[in-house]
Amino acid sequence: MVHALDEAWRVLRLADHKQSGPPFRNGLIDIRPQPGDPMVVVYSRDGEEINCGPLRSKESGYNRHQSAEQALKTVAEAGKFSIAEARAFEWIDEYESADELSKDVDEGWSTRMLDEDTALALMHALDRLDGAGTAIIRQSIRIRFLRKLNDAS
Amino acid sequence: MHELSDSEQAERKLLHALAQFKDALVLDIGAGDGRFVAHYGAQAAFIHLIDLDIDDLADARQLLGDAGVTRYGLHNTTAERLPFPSEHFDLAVFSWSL
Repeated sequence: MVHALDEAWRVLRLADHKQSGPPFRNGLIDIRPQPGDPMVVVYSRDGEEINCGPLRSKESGYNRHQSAEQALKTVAEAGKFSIAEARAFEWIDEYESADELSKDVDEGWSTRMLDEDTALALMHALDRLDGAGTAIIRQSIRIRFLRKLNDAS
Repeated sequence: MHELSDSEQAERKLLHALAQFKDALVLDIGAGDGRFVAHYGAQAAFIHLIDLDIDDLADARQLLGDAGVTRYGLHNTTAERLPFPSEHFDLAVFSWSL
């Protein structure tokens, strides 16, 4: 990751004037999920929210987020980038059934899995609401804008 | 044309609040199927998409065509040795890829 960030630094132009604030014209955008597991939740029509549990990582012993953060720290300490702005939003995927959610996780989430506890809690929640519940996966996403610095001796 | 979900709309809104894509030369690193590029492709002067997965790049070609984005190039290469000169791009993007 550090090599990729080093290369991004190399091919980026340095801003030719001080960028006072967003939206920025020159720099690096990093968008990815925040630390923490995505959560499986059921919403009822009257606003009740039932937390069913997390989508756990398949990558035991490897934390992609930590690796990315360490890489960013390394290039920042080398004087290549600084964080100019950071914002976050919630990404929500909505499903019509537990089966649909389970199938999507199996086929579309390469690093996450629906474990038995969360799957059971999801089914119980949907059963209890008897057709009046909506299953979702919710995760927090962060967008950061990094300014290129010139001091990379 | 692909209809944006509420989450995709929130993502697009935040992205444009942070960065100016109009007439920008953009490098999208780990572009995948190009979903993120579709958020800004119409405004940019040109976008270079990089990904190691050639099937993803084929999907990107389809998605960007559907989105009406025409000014782009696809590169099946690693982000650790970019085939571009120094100080070439206005913006670089790691879209869910760092």
